[in-house]
Amino acid sequence: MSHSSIFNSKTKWLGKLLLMLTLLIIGQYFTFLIIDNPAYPWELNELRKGISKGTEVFYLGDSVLSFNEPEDTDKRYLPQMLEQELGVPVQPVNHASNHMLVYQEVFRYLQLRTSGPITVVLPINLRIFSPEISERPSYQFERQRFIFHYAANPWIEPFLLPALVFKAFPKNPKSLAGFRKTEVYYGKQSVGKVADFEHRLYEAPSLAQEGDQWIYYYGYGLTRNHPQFQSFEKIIDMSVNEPRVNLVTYITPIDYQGGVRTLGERFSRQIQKNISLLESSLNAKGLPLLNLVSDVTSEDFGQSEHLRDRGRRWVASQLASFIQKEVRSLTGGP
Amino acid sequence: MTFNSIEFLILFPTLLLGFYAMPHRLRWSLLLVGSLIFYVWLIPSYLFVASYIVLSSYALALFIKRAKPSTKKHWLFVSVVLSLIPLFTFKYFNFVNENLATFSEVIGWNYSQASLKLILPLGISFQTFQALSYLIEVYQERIEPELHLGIYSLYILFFPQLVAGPIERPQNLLPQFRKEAFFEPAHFNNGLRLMLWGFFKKVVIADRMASLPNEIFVNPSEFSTIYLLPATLCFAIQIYCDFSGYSDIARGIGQTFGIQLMKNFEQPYLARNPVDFWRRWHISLSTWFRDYLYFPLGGNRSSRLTHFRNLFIVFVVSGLWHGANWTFVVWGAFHGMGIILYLIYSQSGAQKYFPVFSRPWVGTALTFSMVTVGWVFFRANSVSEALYVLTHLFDFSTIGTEPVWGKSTLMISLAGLIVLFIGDYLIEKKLEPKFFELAVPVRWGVYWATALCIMNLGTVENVAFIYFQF
Repeated sequence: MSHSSIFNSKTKWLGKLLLMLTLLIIGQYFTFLIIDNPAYPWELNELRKGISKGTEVFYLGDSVLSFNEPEDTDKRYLPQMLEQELGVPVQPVNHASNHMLVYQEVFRYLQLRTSGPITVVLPINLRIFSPEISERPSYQFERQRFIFHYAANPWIEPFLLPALVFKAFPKNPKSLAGFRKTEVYYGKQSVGKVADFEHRLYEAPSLAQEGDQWIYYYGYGLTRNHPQFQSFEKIIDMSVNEPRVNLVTYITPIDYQGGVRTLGERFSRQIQKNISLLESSLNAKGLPLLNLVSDVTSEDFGQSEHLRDRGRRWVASQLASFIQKEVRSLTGGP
Repeated sequence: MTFNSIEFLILFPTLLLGFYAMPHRLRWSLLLVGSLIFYVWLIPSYLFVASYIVLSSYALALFIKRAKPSTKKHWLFVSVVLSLIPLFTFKYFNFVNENLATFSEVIGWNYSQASLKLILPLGISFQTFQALSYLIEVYQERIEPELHLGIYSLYILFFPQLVAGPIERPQNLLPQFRKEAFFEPAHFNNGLRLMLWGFFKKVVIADRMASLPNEIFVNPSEFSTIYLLPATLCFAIQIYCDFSGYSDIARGIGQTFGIQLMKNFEQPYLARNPVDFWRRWHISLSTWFRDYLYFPLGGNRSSRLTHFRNLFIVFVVSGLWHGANWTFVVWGAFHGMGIILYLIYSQSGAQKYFPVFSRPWVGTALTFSMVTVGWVFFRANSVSEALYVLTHLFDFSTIGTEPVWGKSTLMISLAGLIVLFIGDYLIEKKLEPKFFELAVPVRWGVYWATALCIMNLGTVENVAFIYFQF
C-alpha cells in the first residue's frame, strides 16, 4: 500500500471516528434527559427532590435524622420537628457518618444548583474527627463525593454515568491494614492503635475497658490539618463567598455526662478544646456556632448519638431559635 | 488495570497512536512498556514473578535447543519444574499444605507447616502455561527459540491476553510481533466491533448478573430455591459473558495492533453435547491440554479404558488449573465423567432408542443443564456448599416470595440476554456477513446503540473479571 493511500484511508477513518464520537455525545446527552442516573446515591436524589420543590432549608445529617425508638411517644423524626418549629419545609439529606468531605460536596452542589436564598443546617458530630470514622476504609465515600462533585456541573452531569461505568472515580485510599495500625490519641497522648480499640469495643466487647468508647470516639486532639476539619473550613469559605446560602452550624449532642462520669474533667477539657478550634474557624469569618454538645442527658440517647424523642424535641427547638435569630430572610422566620 | 476502567480507556488510544506513529523496529518496545504499565498498575511487585517466568523460560529454551539429544528430555523436565515453581508456590502450596495437615491428623502424624501469606499474581496460570507451551514447542523442534528477549517478553506479557488469555501458541504469536503492521481500516473496525461486543457482554450482562450469585454463594444455606435457582443460572450466564467478553475485548485490541489472537469461545451454550461444549469453551486451554497432556498420555489411540482414563486425568488437572480447591477438582471430574458417559452413550448405539435426545434443541438444553450443574461446584466455596445448592435447587417446600431483583435490573438483564442470544445465534449460523450487507445507517445505528447501552446500562459496581484469579 502506498503512503498516500494509507494517509487517505487513515484520514477517512478518523473522520468516521469523529462523526461516531459526535453522535455518541449527542446520544448520551439525550439519553441523560430520558433516564435517571441509577448510580446516584439516595442523598443526591433527596437533594434534587428538595431543590425541585423550592425548599429553603436543607438539613444535612446522618442516621440521627431518621431515628426514633419504639418506646418513644413522639415518633417524629428530627427534621419533622424542626419543620414544625420553623413553619417552613425542611429537606433532610442524611449521609452515613456525618462525613464533612461529603458535606463539602453537598454544599457545593447546593450552591451551584439553587438560585434563591437557602439555609443549610450543618451538624458537627464530634465523632467524625476520630480515627474510628475518618480513617475507616468503609467510610471514605470516594464514589459518592465524585458523583456529587460532577453532578453539580450541568455540562458534565450527562457524562457522569459512563464515567462511573468505567470506574473513573478515585479508588479508596485507606486500607484495612492501615486503618488498624492507626494511632489513637487522647489529647496529644498516644493510647494505642485502632486495632486495640476495635477489638475491645466491637470484636470482644467483654474486654472493653471503662472509658474506651469515649476516648476512641471523642478523645483526640483536633488540629487544623485534619481532612475533615479542612473540609469544614472550605464549607465556611464557600458560605462566606455566597451570601445567598446561609450556613447554620451546630455541635450535635453526645453522651457528655457519661464521658465526664467515666473520664472526669480531662474529658470535658478535651471536648471544649476541640470545640474551641471549630468555633474559632467560624468566628473568624463572622459565623456563630450553636453548641449542644452537653445539653442532652444520658437518658435521652437511644443507640450511641441517636436521640430519643425528648432529646430530638430539645435539639429541634434550640436549632429553630438559632435559625430564626441568625437567618433573617427565612420565609417562616421573624 | 482492567479493560473496563478509565485508565485503560486512556492507555489504549495512547498506545495505538504511538504504535502507528513509530517505526516498526521500535514498536515491540512500546507494546512491552504498555503491557508492563497495564500489569503492574495496581500491584507493582507482580512484576518479579512475571520477570521470573519470562527470563527462566527464555533461558531454558536456549538450553533445550543446545542440549544433546540424550539430555534434551532432562532439560525439558527441569524447564517444566522450574516454570511451575511460582505457580505452585503462589497457588498450590497452601492447598497441598492444608490437605497434608488434614491427612496427617487422620493417620496420627505430627505435621505442622505454616501457610504462606501471598497474594496470587494476576494471570499467573495463563503466563505459566504460555511459557510451558513455548518450552515444549522448542523441545519438539516445532519452533526455533526466540533470541530477541524483548519480543519474547512480549509473547508472555502482551497486555490484551496477559491476565486471562487466550493462551497463545508461540508459532502463532511470535511471528506476528516481527511482521510489520499497517493501518488497515477493515481490521481496525473489526477489532473495535469485537471490543464493543465484549464490553457489552462484560459490562451490561455479566456484571449485572454477578450481583445475585455474589450475594447467594457467600452463604447459600441461608437461601431457598427461589434464590438458589436464579443465582445458579445467573452465574452460568455471568461466567460466559465475563470470560468470553474479556476474550473478545482482548482479540479486538489485538486486531487494532495488527495481531490476531486465537478465538477462545464459539457459542458454547449452543453446544449439543459435552464433547461439543469443550470444543467451544475456553478453546485455548482445552487445546493446550489436548496437545500437551492428553496426546502425550496416549489420547484415544489405546484401549477404551485407557482413553477414558486419559480424559478423566485431563479434566481433573484442568479443574485444578482453575483453582487450588477441591471444588475445582470436583468440577473437572464432573465434566470428565460427563464426557465419558456421553461417549459410552453415543458409541453404544443407544441413541436409536432415545431419538428425542438426538434433536438439536434437546441436546443443547441437556448440555446447558449439565454445564450449569457443574458451575455450582465452580462457584461454591466448598464441596459441601455446592452439594447444598444442588440438593435445594428444586426444593419448593422452602420457596420464598420476595422478589429476587428490582424491576429495572430484571428488564435490563432480560433485554441483555435476548441480545446475547441473537448475537450468538447469528454467529453460530454464520449470518455475520448478512449484517455487513445492511445499509450503513443501520450498521452505524447498531454500533451507536450498543455503545450507548454500555455507557448507560453498565453497572457501576466494580466486578473483577472472574478469570483474573486464575
